[in-house]
Amino acid sequence: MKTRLRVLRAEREWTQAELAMHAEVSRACINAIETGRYDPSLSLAFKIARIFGKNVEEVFLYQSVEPAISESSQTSSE
Amino acid sequence: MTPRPVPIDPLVLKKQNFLRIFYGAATGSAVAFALVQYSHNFKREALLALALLGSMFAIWTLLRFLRVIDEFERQYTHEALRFAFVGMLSLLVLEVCLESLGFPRVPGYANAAFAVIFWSLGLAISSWQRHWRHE
Repeated sequence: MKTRLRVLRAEREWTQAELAMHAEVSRACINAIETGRYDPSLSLAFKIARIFGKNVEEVFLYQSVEPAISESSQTSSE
Repeated sequence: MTPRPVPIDPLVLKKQNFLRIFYGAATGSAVAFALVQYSHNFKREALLALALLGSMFAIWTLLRFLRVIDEFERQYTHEALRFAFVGMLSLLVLEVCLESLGFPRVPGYANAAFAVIFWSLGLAISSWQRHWRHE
């Protein structure tokens, strides 16, 4: 999963610790999300997005390793 | 330009305190349990009561710690608990085998101490793996 967390945080001039305090998680958790080592749960993703006043898809971008379902269903129907 | 002071997160302090209290209580009760074996009369009963109270307090602190950690830390502790469970199971099987071969019986409090050691080892290993896997 890709994230714009670092950019959004920089815009507000927040440290990881400050964002962690707002999101009520550890600084290590924010660091792991930013560096792509950890994918947050849905509730945490929504919480972080809400902190920045954004939609969840504006903060987190899911990168699928497999082709999208719509593409594969189109191929099979052809 | 001076660096901004890092705010002290009360949640971090709370977690650290819970862990410190847990290890303190666990060590204290392990020592008390060990001393019970060498004491007599009323001292023995007092030590046993102290050890039981200490271990109950340690378990309560551990449960409180598991409740305050976040989802990322929960992953670590889950891996550590898995490691501790498999480790303890293997150790108990080994103890049973050795006992049946005539080796002396390992006391129950020692097994509790082994469980704590396995859990701590599991925490260290999962933290180390996560750190080096993504360097």
